[in-house]
Amino acid sequence: MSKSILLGAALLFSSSALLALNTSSPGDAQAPPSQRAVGADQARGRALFVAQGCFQCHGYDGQGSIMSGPALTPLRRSQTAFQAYVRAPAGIMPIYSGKILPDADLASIYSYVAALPPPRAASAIPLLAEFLGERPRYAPAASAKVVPSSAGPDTRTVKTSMSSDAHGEGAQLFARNCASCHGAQMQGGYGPKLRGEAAKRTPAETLALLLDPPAGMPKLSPDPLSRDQMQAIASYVRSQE
Amino acid sequence: MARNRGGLSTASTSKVGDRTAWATSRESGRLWSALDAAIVAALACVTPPRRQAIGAREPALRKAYGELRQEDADAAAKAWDASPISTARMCMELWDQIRDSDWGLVSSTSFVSSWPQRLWDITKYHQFNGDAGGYGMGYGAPSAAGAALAHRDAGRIAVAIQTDGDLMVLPGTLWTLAHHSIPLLMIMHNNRAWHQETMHLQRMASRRDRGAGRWKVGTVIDDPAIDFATMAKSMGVWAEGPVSDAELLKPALQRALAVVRSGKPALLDVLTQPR
Repeated sequence: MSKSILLGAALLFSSSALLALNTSSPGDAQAPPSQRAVGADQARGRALFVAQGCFQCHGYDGQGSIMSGPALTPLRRSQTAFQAYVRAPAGIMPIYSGKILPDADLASIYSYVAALPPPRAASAIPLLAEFLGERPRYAPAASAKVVPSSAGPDTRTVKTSMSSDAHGEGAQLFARNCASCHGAQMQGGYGPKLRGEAAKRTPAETLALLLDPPAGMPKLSPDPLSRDQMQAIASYVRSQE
Repeated sequence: MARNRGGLSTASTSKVGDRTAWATSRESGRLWSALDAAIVAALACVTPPRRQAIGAREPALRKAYGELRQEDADAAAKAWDASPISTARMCMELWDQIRDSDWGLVSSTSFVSSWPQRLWDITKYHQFNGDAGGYGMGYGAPSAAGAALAHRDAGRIAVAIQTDGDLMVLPGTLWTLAHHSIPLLMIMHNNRAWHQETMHLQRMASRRDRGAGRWKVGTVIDDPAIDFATMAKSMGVWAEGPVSDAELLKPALQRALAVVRSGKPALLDVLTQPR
């Protein structure tokens, strides 16, 4: 009686351990050795991600929080950049030295984070899909609108600087994709200072650098940013002295 | 001199009361007419050209607002199906159940990444009443009880996103809710931790070459994990949980809100991501 309970418990434990591996393919037993090794490293990486406390700020699934730390998915840094950042983070993230987090453990954590599955698209989630699309969900009552006088032009078709100016879009894209390394005012941080870019390179050279960045800098084009968007960022960066 | 139960002489209290009543009616009357005059004067400054200029700002503001909401929706989609349950998932499932009622949120939201402020429609002043001042510890549960009492008198349901550490400061609040039949839904943000000092502990561990797991000292509420549903039931509050499967949130919320709409408190223990 007790033996079968032990066996049942062992089966339960091993199956939950397999689930914790976060590998979805049922044919893992037939996978080539390198893939099996990666799977095991991801499991170890997750255990370390929890033991070292990374999950408190970045979430168990790397989703981040505006209160505590950025999302880690999708991960756009190379392994070198990721590991270097953990050793010398900007901002308020604590430093993880080699003595409390050995290189091999950090490499496992990287393999866990890099392998986190991409999130479901918000458009595929009914509770979130209503926030996507052209019109924001909340529309104030008509009486609350400021109605232009009949003598004036229809102000609702007036183009503002934010909607038509490439610098406006470039500034937004920069804030979302570049500021975390280069600083909100391009003053530098983990990445170099960008002020004075216009004096250093021609417009074509700046764009070429963005499209084919040096080691340590994420390659954001063609995915998720288009060439036009990279051009907008380049124009914005060059416009700041 | 006669004294009331608080020890104050009855003569002095009635004098104070009279003075307060007089001050309220006369002073507030003066204040209101001053405000009216100010509003009239301000409206007179809004000439037609100014009105047009203000109207011209609307398209850009609408666009920026829409983009902000889209960014938040994309952020909320991350870890949507995770266990422990993501704070975004919990807040949006809750929103889906209360959006068609007359509701009030009577708790802080910063520890759940402020999802209600980002993705709910908060359009009336009574729908949110803020947070503790001066970093008050244990403020959440008793303040929610008081605010829920006010909402009850106004015929609304009150919901509180209740953190586990905060509830453990004054857990007797649950008995108060049951004893006075206060219709409050406490949906728990139970991350089984405080986590307050962990970053400092991690920095110190790195600086002084201490072991990796030292940040846990004094910062987690685990081993054993607290069974909040059983605790609530022990004090007369309907409760379910812990829920760690996001798919089970909707039916559990519906059951809990049915209890709240019948005029009683309810607690739903939800195991959540840290923030």
